Amino acid sequence: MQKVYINGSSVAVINSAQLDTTERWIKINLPKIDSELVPPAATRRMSKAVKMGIICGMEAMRQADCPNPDGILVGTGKGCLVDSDKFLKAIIEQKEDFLSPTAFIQSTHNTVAGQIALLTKNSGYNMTYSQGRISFESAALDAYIQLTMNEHISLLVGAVDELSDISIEINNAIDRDQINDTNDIQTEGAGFFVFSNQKDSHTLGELKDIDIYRNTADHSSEKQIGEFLKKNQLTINQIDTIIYSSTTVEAPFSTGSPILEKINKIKYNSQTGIFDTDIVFAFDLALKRLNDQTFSTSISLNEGKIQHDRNILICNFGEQNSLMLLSRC
Amino acid sequence: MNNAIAVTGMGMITAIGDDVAQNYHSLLRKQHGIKPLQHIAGKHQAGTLVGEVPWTNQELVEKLGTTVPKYSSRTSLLAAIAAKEALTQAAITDLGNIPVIMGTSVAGMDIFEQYFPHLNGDRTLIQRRDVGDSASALSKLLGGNGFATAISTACSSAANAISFGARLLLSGRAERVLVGGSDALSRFTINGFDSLMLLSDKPNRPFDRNRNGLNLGEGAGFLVLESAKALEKIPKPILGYLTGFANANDAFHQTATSDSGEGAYLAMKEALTISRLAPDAIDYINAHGTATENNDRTEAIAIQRIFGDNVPSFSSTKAYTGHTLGAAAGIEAIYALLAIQHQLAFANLRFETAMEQPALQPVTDHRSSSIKHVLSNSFGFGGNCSTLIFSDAESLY
Repeated sequence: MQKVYINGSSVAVINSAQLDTTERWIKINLPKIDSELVPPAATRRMSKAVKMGIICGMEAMRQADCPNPDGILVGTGKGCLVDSDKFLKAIIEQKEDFLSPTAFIQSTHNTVAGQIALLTKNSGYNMTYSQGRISFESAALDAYIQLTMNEHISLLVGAVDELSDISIEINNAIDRDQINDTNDIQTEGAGFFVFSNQKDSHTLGELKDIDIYRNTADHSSEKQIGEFLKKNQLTINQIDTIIYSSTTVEAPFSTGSPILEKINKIKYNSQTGIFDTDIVFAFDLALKRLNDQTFSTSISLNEGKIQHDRNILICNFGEQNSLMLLSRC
Repeated sequence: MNNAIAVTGMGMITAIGDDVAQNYHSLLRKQHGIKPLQHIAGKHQAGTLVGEVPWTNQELVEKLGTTVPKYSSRTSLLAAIAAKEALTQAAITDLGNIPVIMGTSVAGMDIFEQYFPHLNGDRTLIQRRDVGDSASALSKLLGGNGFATAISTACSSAANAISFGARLLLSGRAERVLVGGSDALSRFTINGFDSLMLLSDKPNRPFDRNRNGLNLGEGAGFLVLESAKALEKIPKPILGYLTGFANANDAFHQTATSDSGEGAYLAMKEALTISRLAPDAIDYINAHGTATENNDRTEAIAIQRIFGDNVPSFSSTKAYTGHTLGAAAGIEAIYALLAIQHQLAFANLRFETAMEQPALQPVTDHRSSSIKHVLSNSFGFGGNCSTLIFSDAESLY
C-alpha cells in the first residue's frame, strides 16, 4: 500500500479580525484573479465559489510544482449556492418564462471541479462530493484510497463553500424571532491541497489515515479515536495536538475524558467562523504546525512559538464525524 | 478472483415500473413512460413531456410502508423504495453500518422549491435542499448507522457513486455497500433544461437523425455490491459483476461535449483497461443517448473511436424512462444487468433514420444473443464522463 503525502496547500478563509462583529454572516474578500490565468471577461461570469476554487487550486498546484495532477476532487456542502438561488428566484419572479440558462448552467455542484479542469485542460478523474460538514473528508477519502491503491500519482483535492444573499435573507427571516447566537457566525471559504503518493522536496506532511463514521449508542467517538490510532500503531500520548470542530454535539473530550485531557487541543472555528467545509482550515493549520511555521493568526492557534508537532489528529464532530491523522515527514 | 465486485441486489423505480420486474416487463413490451407532466404545478404541467413516476408523494410513502420525517423529499422517497428492494434481494435485513453512497443532482430541491422563498418559517426545508441530506436521510430511513455520502456530478452522479462504492470494497474499508442514485422531477431542472432549449416537444428519439432533444425523467436505481470476503461469510446468488469503472473529464465546455467525444472516449477506454477486456468482448452498450443533438453525435463518435468497424449492439433506454439525471446510471446499471440475465439487447425506441456522421445504427428491435459484458455510459455537465462495465457471473472464472 502506497503512502499519501500532501505536497501543496492553499486556503482562503475570512480574516479573523472580521469576526469581531455582531453580524451573523461574513463574506470573504477575495484577491483579483491574475488576468493571465483567466481572462477578465471569464472572471466576471464566475461565481465566488468558482473563483475561490481556482485561486486556491492553482496556488496548491503551483506550490507542489504539479500543474497536471491525475484528477480533481472537490467537496462542497452547499454547492454553487449563489447561482442556484438566482435561478430559483428567476423561476418565481418571471413565472417560468424567458429564463436565462446561465445561472442554471453554473448551479450544478460540480461546476468548481469542472471549471478547474477546463482551465487547466485536465481530462483526468473529476469528482464532486456534497455531504454537509464531511464533504471535504468524502473527497479526501476517495483520493486517499486511489493513491494508496496506486491508481494515480497525484490528485488535487479541495473544498469550497460560498454564502448567498438570497439564502442569508431566507435564514434571517426564519430566525428573526430567535436569539442570535454569536458563536454561530456563518462564513465562506475554500482550501485545496495536492495529495500524492510520491514524497518530494515540496512535501508538507503525510496523511496517515482518514475515517468517517457515525456514533451509535455503544460506539462513542472516544472509542473510535482509540481504534483509529491503534490501527495506525499510535497511542494517544503520541498525538501532539488535536485540531477540531464540533457543531451538533459536544466533542467527546470537552467533557473531561481522562485519556484525552492532557493533549493540546485547538477548536479552530474561533478563527474561521462556520461553513460546511471549514475543516480545510484545520488541514492547512496542521500542515503549518508540522513544518514549524509560525503565522499571523491569533495567539490561540499559534501560541507565538514553534511547537515541534509530529502527529496531529483532526477531528470533525457533527451529524457524521471524521478523523484525519497528519504526520511530520 | 479476490478483487471481484459482485452485485447481489438491485432495486428501482421509474416511469415504467415500481420495481425491477415491472421495469423489465415494460422494456419487453416496448412500453415507454413519456407523458405530459402531472405532479408539478405551473407552466409545464399537462404540457411538457416527461418520464414521471405516476405516484404522488403520499402514495410513495404508503408504498414504502414506514413513517417518514417531515418534508421528506421525493428524491429521498424514490431512493428509499429502490434501495429497500435492492437490500431485500441481497437478503440484508439490517443495513447497520453498511456505507451508503448516493448520486443525486436534484436532492431535496423538489420539496424546497415548493415553499421557496418563505419556507413556512421552517429550517428543515433549508436542510432538505442540501445534497448530503438525501444520503443521510436514505441511510436513516433504512435504519442504518454507517457512513453515508453523496456524489453530485450532474448526470453521471450514480455511476460515480457506484465506482466509489467499488473502491471502498477494493480497499478493504467495507465488505458491502449500498450504491446508486435518485432524482425527482423538479421545477428547477425542468425550467433549467427548458432554458437551455434541450427539451423535446415529442417523445425523445435517441440517435435518430431527426432527434430534437430530451425528455426529463425521474426515478431511482440502487445496487448492493459485495466483496469476495463478504460472500465467503454469507454466500448468496450473484447477479453479475462490476468489472470496469472509470471517470474522465472532457475539459471542453460546461454543458456541451467536444466534437471528438474525448471525455467519453477516455472513460470507455479506461473502464475497458480496468476490466482487462478488449473492446470486442463488449456485447451490448447501454448508451447515455439523451437524444440531444450534441450528446448523441459526440457519443457515437467516441463509440466509433473505441470500437472501430465492430460497434456492438447499442441502444439508449432513455426513450423509455426519460433522462433521470443523477439517477440515470443507477437505473441503467440495472438494465445492463437485466440484459446479461436475459441475454437481450433492448430496442432503441423511435429510431428511424441514422445520423449522418457517424451513421451508427442502434438496436431497433430487442435482440437475443449471447451477452457476457455490457458497457454503460453516463455523461454530465462540467464535462463529467463515466463508464461502467458489468459482466456475467460465469465469465469471470
